[in-house]
Amino acid sequence: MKMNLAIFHGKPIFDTPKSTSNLVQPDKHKFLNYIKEIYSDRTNLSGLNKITIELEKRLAHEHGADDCIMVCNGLWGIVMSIYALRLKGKTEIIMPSLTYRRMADIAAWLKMIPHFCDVDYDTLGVRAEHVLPCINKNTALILAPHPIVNLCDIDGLIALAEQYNIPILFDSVEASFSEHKGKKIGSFRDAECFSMHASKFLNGFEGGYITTNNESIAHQLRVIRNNGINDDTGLVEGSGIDGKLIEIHAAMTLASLDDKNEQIERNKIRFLKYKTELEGIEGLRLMEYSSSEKRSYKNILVRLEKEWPLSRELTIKILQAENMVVRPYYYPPLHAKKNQFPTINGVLTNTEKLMGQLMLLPCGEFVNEKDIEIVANYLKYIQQNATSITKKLPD
Amino acid sequence: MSKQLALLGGNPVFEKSLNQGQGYLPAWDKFTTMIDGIFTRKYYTNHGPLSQKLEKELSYFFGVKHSICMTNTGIGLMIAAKALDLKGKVVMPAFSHISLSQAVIWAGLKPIFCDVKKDTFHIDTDLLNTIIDNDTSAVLGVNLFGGTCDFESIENIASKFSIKHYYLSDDAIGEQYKKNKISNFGNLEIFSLHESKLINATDACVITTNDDFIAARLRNIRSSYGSGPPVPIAFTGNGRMSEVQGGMALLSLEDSNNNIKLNREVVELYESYLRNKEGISIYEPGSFVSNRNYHRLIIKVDESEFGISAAKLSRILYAENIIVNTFTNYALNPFLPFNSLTTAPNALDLSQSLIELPIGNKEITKPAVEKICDVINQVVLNINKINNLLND
Repeated sequence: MKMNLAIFHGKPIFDTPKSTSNLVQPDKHKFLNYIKEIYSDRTNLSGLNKITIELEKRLAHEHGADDCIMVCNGLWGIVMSIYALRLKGKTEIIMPSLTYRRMADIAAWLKMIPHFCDVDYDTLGVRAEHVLPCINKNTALILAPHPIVNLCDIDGLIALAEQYNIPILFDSVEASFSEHKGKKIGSFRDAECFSMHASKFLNGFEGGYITTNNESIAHQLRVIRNNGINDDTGLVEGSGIDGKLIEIHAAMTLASLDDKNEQIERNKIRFLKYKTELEGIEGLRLMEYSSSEKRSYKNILVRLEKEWPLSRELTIKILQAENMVVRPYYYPPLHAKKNQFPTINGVLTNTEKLMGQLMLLPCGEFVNEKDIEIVANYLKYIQQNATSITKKLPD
Repeated sequence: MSKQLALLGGNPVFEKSLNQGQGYLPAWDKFTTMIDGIFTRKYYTNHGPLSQKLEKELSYFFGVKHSICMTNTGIGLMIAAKALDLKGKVVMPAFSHISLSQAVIWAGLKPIFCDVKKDTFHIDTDLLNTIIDNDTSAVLGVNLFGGTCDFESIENIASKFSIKHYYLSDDAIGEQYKKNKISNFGNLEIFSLHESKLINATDACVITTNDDFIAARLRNIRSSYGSGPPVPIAFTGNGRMSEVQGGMALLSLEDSNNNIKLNREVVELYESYLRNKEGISIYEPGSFVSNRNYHRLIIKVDESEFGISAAKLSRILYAENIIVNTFTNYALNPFLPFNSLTTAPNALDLSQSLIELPIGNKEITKPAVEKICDVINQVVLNINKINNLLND
């Protein structure tokens, strides 16, 4: 079979982009029902009203955590969490370089210094052995993001944090509704952060939340979220930002949450379809979800091994021309960016290797099983015809 | 009509709490039609079609080159300080909401408070002249209660010291100063689109500027979506507005003329009842302000003439289910960075003597205003009883 690739001016195989964003649409009527009552009351839609309170209760329960604090978006959620948790007077946040592209900027808002650590080559998550060499007298906090598939080394990291008495914050944005040894993500240690950006598991338009089992941290976060004002006393207790979630976003999140189990099923079908279709393609390794633990299967990530005949960038270019919005995984890694603020690099051997190898494939609600067959066929075709494709391309 | 005050054992004059702030919402069917559109397009955030349309319409409405919308005012203020590349100190009025100083501190700056003028409630520009030093990089003016700062003096001071000046102009949406639309002053202006304001996105803000470079920096820091051409910035934040915020603000903008008309009727009614009340004065924006939006009504309570303090009056109104704004968080903060206010006697006085009466929400109609003003009348008649009760 000969394909007329769009990169050589053929017609893209997809008319509309197939993205790596989740873009799950909750039931519209459920969403409207959640908002209707306070809409007719005509006030306090700006936040901290009944919908937010109901959502905080439900999410705390869903994550097996004592408390949950809704915030305006995921980025400020992490900023506020670090501010509440950090060892006061210390300056460094240990975080992987291969993570969310704004994570170093988050440290800059806090006037702190990101200290970049490595990740595990196979799981892509941080392990204790990567964090340990970065710990020093300035360490204020360990920021441990779960990778896009599966989890970081929760037990090892918690043990390390306890040994050195350093707070640990999990960025669990990509691990919503997973479990570790039967315990729910959202219930570990000092706090965990989540996002409800439309591209994430729960679509709240925009938004974020923090789960915690620590009453004092929960209180501090509520004060920080409210410009530093304790709403019960009206007094200013410290630093704070305008971090409230608006009620309409909370209502959308509730409606998304109603669809949680069904969404996991739909995601799992897509993942298993990819697994079947990509099997046997030489040089392409699907990063598989654990088969023994609960996962939400949202993202599809592949690693291009040394047998893969093209560079990742060229592979992405060819697929994107077909309207497959394939993306590099966390690229560039944070240590490779030109940052305008101080940073510290740890040993980043695996990160350096991985930074050119990982690729996210289309997923989410705009992608069906037929689309997955097409994506896989293109990958097979590219793998088999790499030489002729390269020849045809201008230098 | 006369009644027994709830504080003195009567029934509250309103069965249910009166809502605070403008709170005008589009009709439910308009809201659901807007939601239908979002659900059909499946475009939920990331500078989508509604946010883009809103920015265009706001630029037209404000008569300004750039309108950049963000998730809320606090975050807008933080990003604005970064976009202006401020360093060191920022001088702001001592009478301002704590969110301003918080945002300035988060942006790595030191807030310096300048007292306000007793009569205008706005920053005292004579004093401002003496406060600015070599470490000062900007003046953050606040246009309050439908009035404005003395723009020309601030402009002169900023140019004399070669510093920036920018404004929080929430209360002046749609207004003009000496026939110039507010939104065109200083390096940029920030307008809240909170539900308590004239244009209601439930919460959000818009930053206006005529400076292409500052606009580009604001967009670059806000988010990668709708960021336009890259320009140098220190680091990014996340100030994205969602499509539903954009859609709400667009509907609210459609209703704004009508809502100004409703506000004006209510304000004029309050004025007719309270004009000659001893010990109460109503805030008036200066004579340079036109196209008023009438979205806030502020009274100043002179305790020595009225008989009780603003704090006590607000307690009495609360008991009647009339929720009024007071301004204690505008000046007096026990929190360390803000506790140097002994040098701002006017701000201190205002924080203790101002009350905002309810306007908006379509529930503050003629009978409601009459009831509220009647409560104030009853207070005057029962001053001794109230003082005895509240002093205990």
